[in-house]
Amino acid sequence: MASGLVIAQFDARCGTPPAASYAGLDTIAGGATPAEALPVLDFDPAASEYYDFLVPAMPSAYSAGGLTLLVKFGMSSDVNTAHKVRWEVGIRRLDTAEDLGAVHAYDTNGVSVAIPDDVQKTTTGTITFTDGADIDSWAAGEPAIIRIYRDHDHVDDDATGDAELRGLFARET
Amino acid sequence: MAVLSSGDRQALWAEFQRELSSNREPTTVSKVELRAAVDAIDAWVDANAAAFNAAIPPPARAALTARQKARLLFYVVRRRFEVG
Repeated sequence: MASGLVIAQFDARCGTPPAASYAGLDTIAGGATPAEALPVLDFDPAASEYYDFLVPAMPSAYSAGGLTLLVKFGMSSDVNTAHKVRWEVGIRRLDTAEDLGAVHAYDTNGVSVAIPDDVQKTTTGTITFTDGADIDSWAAGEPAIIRIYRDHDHVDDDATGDAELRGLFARET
Repeated sequence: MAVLSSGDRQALWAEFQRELSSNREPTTVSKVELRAAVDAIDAWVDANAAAFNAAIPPPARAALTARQKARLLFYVVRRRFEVG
């Protein structure tokens, strides 16, 4: 199995906040009766905030094709489609040799995504990773942490207000 | 009183965005444009502080503290936009 293999998919409730500078868990109301309560993670526009998602195991069918990560998000206020949010994602492999307590710097790949024209809409950013060092040499059968953050002071990130992460979807490229 | 420090303007700018987000209040202005508005409004307030003070009739002009006058201005402006 290669391209298209589903590696992981998460909604906002599936992750865990890091010890500091984390996005806040929130809900947004839908328009149905009774109204839906969609869980989202609010990423601040004025400070970089992070969230972590644990993948218990890379599927055994992974064949070194790299990853494609889809970032599903909306905005809480800004509706100007000329504006963008900058997302950065890094991966930390948790193989048997990894010392979780050791200092670790996530090497990230990023994407600048134009926002939707309505606060009720969702858009998608796509981030790709090549196999090997780009995914911290994450291999089949191993767990890993996928860390996402909004790079609030990136030159492309000009959208006002919170960016609301609604889901993450990772598949083999 | 001088204009706000950059740090204070930054905090105000962040707080305003938090409020926009909490209210899910649509806007089309960018973060940079919003910050420019914060800076300009603060500069205008500073430039017109004396005129504002002169507009307050006595004895309130002498009896109210500077903070109270500023708070009263906030109340008046907010109410204008609530009823307007």
